[in-house]
Amino acid sequence: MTMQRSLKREFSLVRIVLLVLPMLLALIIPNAFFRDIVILLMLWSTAASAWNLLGGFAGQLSIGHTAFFGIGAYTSTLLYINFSVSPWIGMFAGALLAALIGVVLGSITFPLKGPFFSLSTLAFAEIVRIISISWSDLTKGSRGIVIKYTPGFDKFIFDSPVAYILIAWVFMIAVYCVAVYFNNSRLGFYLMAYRESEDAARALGINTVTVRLKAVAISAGLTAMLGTFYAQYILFIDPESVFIVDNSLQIVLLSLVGGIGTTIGPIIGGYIMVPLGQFLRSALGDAVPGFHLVIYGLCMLLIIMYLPGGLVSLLQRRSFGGSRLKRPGRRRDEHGAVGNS
Amino acid sequence: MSQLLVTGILLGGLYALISMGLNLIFGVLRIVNFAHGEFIMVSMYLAYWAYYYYKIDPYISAFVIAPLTFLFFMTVAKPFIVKLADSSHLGQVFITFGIGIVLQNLALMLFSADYRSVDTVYSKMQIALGEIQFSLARMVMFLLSLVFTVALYYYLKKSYMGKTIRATMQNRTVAMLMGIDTQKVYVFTFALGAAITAFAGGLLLPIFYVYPTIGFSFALIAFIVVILGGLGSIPGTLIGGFIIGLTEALSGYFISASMKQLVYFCIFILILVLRPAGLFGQRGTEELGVK
Repeated sequence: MTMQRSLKREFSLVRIVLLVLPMLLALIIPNAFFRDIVILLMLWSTAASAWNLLGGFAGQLSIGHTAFFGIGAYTSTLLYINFSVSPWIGMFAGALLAALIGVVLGSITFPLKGPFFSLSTLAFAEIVRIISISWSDLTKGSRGIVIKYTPGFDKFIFDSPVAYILIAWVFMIAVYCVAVYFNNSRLGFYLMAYRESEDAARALGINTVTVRLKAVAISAGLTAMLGTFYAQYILFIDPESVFIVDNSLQIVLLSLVGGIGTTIGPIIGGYIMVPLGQFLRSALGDAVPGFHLVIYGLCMLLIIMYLPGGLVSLLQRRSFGGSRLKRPGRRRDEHGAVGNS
Repeated sequence: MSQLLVTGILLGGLYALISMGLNLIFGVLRIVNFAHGEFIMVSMYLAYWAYYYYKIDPYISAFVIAPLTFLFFMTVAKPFIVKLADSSHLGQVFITFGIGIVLQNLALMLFSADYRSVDTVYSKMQIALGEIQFSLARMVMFLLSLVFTVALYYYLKKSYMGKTIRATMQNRTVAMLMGIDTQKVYVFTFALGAAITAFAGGLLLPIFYVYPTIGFSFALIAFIVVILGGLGSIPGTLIGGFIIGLTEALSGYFISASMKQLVYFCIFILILVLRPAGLFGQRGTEELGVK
């Protein structure tokens, strides 16, 4: 498949509509609750997309990505609170720091495979969470940090949600483009080769260690940038909101529901699961505590058990990028690309 | 000091007991069971209600709950285990995690977030040996963890079923070719693991409060213990439990109580990197079943 044809598919009409629609709807409908959902939806879809770069393309199933998310949030916030560094700069500082930590972690854990890698990332995220609670001189511990509401572009705080909608959308499109790049570039091909078979990839002369570290760095850095966005949007962070393991699982869940290892899958996953979660919470959350999560968990179970390829597999048409995945002769288990065969 | 060591070892026995079931499910079957903590939570609630309504002592109801759990998984939940065994590891993580969410929130719905505990004669009872004091309930768990280790070890080593379980663990395809009904083995081992977990959960009730989210911390500890001790190694789980229990007691005393988790997560990553088969696991077994 030539590059051009592939790009035509990645930016087909259906996909463009899909990518633009929530942003347009949020701009048109001035409902605060709806806009909040759309912003969160774009935030988590983007985070899932960033995770998918590592988890989907490289097959490295991290369940500790919330550590990078929180590192981004804390770095920019602490720089802003203590040294009045603009969060725009803090965002890149956080991304760099997260990428660096990701590379260090990646080099330590690189021999680990399958569930062992996942568990090590989970332990890593817990370590970062405990540090963030106990190092209270720096992070104010579990009391969290409130960012003072002073609107201004350089402060990354806006009084209208429209700005947040646009920024979140730009993030989403940017990460989608990175995913498209992964799906069509040498780096992406190397990663996919590594995912399918490490031995074969090495035999073909791919330096699996460096491509893997590149994927970790990019994925961690992008996730950290979203952490900054989250902090500037909510204006409050504490270890329980940015470092909690539920975030990591949410990110992976969206990819899994949408279709792991595809460019559009994680975003579709976010479109379905985030509004579902918010809707259930607002509809049922007050009546009986916990009921909405029971329903949410059941929906998630059904999708994962009976639609292992994700929602994208329902839409396996050219415009959705199914053809590449369906290429014969490529081994993949039923959950898309998983582990090292 | 000796008080610290005793506390640590008793805690280790407790951790070993709650990890034993996970060792069967994760260590032997390689099913990444994120609902392990919720299995413990559910059995604690069962024991609690048995005590609350029928005044059945947790130590007695555990002997009822465990066989019932076993039966439940052998019959009603059987298709589910078969499905789980065939999923990829990420699928398993999220299927079991989903079950965890559902169970946790069902508990929240039905029983509210209140902390509940039973007040039995022995739950507060302390035994003094010279200067060393320890609680009776923890001592019971410690002794039972020894009993379970020995029993399970010989069961897996000597009995026919144990041999088929180990054969299936080593190579599912070959085991099937040798005439072993691997599906039956999977269901049986899973049910056995769940039953042991339920038993341990019942015994936890006199020691800990029960509330819907109690499972998560237990599950993390169980994963650490199983990997530390070695996948599939029953004595390894016991030793792993002791190491984590002692680490917790000592680091809680010498560093600070909030840092004790940090210490064992660091141990966990170190052991994963340096010796992924665990301390007592057979070298190379960590690669088995990892697709």
